[in-house]
Amino acid sequence: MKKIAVCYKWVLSDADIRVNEKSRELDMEKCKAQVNEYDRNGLEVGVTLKAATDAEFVGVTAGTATASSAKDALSRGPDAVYHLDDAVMANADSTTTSKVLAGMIKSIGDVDVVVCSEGSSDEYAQQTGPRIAALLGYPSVSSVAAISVEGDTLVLDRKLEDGTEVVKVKAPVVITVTGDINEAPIPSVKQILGAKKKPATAMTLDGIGLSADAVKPLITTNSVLAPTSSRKCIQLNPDGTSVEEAAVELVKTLTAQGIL
Amino acid sequence: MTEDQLIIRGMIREFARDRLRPVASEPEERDVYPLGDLQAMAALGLTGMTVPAEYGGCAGDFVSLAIVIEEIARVSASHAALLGAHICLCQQAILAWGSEEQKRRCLPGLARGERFGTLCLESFATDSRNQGAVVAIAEKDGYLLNGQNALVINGGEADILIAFATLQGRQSAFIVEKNFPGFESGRVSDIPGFHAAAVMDIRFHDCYVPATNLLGEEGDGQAIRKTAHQAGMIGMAALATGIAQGALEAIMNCSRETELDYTGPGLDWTVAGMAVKVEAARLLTRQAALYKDNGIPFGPEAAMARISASGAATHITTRAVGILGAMGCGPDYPAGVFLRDAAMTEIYGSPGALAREALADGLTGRSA
Repeated sequence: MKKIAVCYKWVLSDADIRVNEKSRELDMEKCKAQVNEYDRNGLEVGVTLKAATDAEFVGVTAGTATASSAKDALSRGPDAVYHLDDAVMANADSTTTSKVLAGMIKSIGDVDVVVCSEGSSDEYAQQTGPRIAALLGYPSVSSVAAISVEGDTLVLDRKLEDGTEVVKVKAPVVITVTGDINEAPIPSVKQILGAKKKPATAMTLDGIGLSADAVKPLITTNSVLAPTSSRKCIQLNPDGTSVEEAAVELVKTLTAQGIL
Repeated sequence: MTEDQLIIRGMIREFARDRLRPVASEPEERDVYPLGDLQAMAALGLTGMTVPAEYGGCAGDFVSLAIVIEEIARVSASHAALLGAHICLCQQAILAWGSEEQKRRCLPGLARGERFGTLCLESFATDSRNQGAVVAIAEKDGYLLNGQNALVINGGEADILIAFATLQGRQSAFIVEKNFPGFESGRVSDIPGFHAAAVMDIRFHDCYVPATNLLGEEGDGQAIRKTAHQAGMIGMAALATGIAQGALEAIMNCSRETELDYTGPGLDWTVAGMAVKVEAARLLTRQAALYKDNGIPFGPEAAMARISASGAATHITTRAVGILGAMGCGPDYPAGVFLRDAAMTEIYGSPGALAREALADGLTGRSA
């Protein structure tokens, strides 16, 4: 293995989102940008693979204001970070994101292992990893919950609904890891202060041979509103109604509501 | 804040929220020394964050340290007090006054958190300009110490203590190790706060300290105490700011999550006034830390920060207890715990005396 690229997203923290109770609009003003929590597991996979293989480990991100992500990401283990900041990423869908990330990975060169997490805390579309694999022409292994290295082979445990599938694969490959693959550590003071000594490279769409038109989002988001749920409280057994009668009434009520 | 400081703040908030908050109340309630938490802090490099790299530290700045202590104190003042005493008092005294041999012998273990340190700032004498209650006499390649110190943070567990003693009429400072014969620590009863910080009374009974453990020269004790006290004022100011912030958040969280309504011309003005006090204390603390980082004399600034932050903590926690009532006695909005710890910031290091005297000295030019 020559180079491991871990993709991460620079997202707004969802802990500080406030919901306007009348309009249901989201107030993100107090939300701070951070490395997507799921991607911290991916970055820790990069640390583990680097230690096992001696390959170079880079972080890759595309979005808006991504330059400010570099030190945070670098403190989590990569040898270098590549970031792309473009207005088109403000409304990026999975197509846009994967095209741009795949373009960046091609430009970086020699990347033969790509690691993505299963999703981002904002969109959670769960498509980026497999899409990048298709664009790069690499095999895709998703839902990976454990990784070990045997020589030049990666042994991957895939967590499936009905069990665990063990896959052996050689690079090049794109791996999508689950959140329980590891416990992403909090960076230490030494790692944070040492991050400034590592390189962070800004890339552009032009520089990676893509036009804004080529990566135009296919999905348009019209609005983002907080969900609402309404509840009905209907008592079915007033005045000592028997359980049997109440059960019949329950079926009638659920049928009338279109639930059954 | 610099980008590094912002990232460190994010890191320490994550640590305080995920690692510390779930476990912090247990040692506090049971007066248990939180060694495991301190080791977790060491793994993050916090125990050596301002120690130069040549002595095994992270070579970080004091502003970052103030941020770290404040963030930890929002969750547990005891943990913040332990870290503050370790860095601001013990490590700073050794860094400023230790011989090269002493630095190489003591600092790497302290920086890595394999050993913990503190400093005996208080004595039983009431005069803040006192000569110390511990007496030393010269004894065959070393000194014999006799006497006692009060309220030493981490006094019961620290491996290395900086102690002061009167030697031939002048104060001198000594590096005392926990295993020296004649060194004892005793539990302090009825202490209001810092319950997990192993705050102890220290006693020396013919405690032999080798000459190689004399810090500075004989008679340097007063100057060493001043060095430690000035850095300690930044640490305690940051800690008090964290307590004040924590108590303010308890009110706001309770208002958001329960029926308590702090909107209206009464309570919301009170909360706004509290926020001003917290921010003023925070800025004064970081200003003093910034002066220190840049080699600018910072004694008066540290004293201002210390006085402002302790005042803010006491004011806000007292009001928080009144506003939250019974809810402030539970684990969700722990105003009562904050109040007890705020009282410790008024007791420890005597901001009413030492800090005000240091400030007056600085302002009038009575001391360099």
